[in-house]
Amino acid sequence: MACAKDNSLSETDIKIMQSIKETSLSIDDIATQTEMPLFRVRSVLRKLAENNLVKESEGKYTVVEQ
Amino acid sequence: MSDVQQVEVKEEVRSLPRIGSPAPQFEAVTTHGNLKLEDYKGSWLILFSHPADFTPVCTTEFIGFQEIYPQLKEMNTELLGLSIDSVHSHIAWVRNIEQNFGTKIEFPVIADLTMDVAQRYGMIMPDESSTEASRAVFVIDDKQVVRAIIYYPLSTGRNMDEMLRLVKALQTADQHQVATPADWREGDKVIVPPAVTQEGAASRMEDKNMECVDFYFCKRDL
Repeated sequence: MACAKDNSLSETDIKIMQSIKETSLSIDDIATQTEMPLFRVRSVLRKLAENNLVKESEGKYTVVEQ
Repeated sequence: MSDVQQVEVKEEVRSLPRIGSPAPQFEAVTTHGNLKLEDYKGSWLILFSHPADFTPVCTTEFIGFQEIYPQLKEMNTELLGLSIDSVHSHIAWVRNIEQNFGTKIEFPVIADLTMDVAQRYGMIMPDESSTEASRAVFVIDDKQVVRAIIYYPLSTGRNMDEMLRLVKALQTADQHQVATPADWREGDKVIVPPAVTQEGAASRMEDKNMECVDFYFCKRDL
């Protein structure tokens, strides 16, 4: 186990968050816009949602205002 | 009472994945963050295990898998590696491969230290090694069904050309409702499912679009 947990945002995290900063998008649309594979988008969105950085509504994701 | 304390050993019996069965679900730590099998819904997936990081045969295989990755992606197919090593070992190894061999590994690798995924998929051959995964390959389709399984021993690296051929053959069989003969390659004739009635057998032998040796052995172009 690592001695400390790295909670910093990766470039991928930021890229996905930027894609839904202004508008809410579906997973498919985020994958298209960011040119990332679907599995990666799903995984990152799950992590961001667990950290309350993005939220999902009716299948579309948007950034949570902090 | 005996001096020897009896310890009850509970062993969980898991059935291994079978062709045609749903692929066992998992959530795992990988070099690309936490991934669940369900993240791959809609894509085909080659889930493969290797015995250990920083070993020569595995290194050649990783380079080989990376080389076919662009072609796999064109076939809507992802790659996911696995071994019983830590994520830091994986990270160090893929960085080492890039430094020493010039190949950047772009697919994620599961760090299966608890052997949870390896056990679910029957990747460990205890009589060969109880601490390393064998060279297992599971082809999982876009509906998360196991479509093909291949096992190789620790000593023998896999054939990347066969990975491509296998996925292409499975996808072609699905798309056209046909089968593929031995050593089939894209562009070769495919096998038409055998006729199941006398009438079907008779008409098949007269079908100009097919190349039939007998009613049960007909090929056609796609």
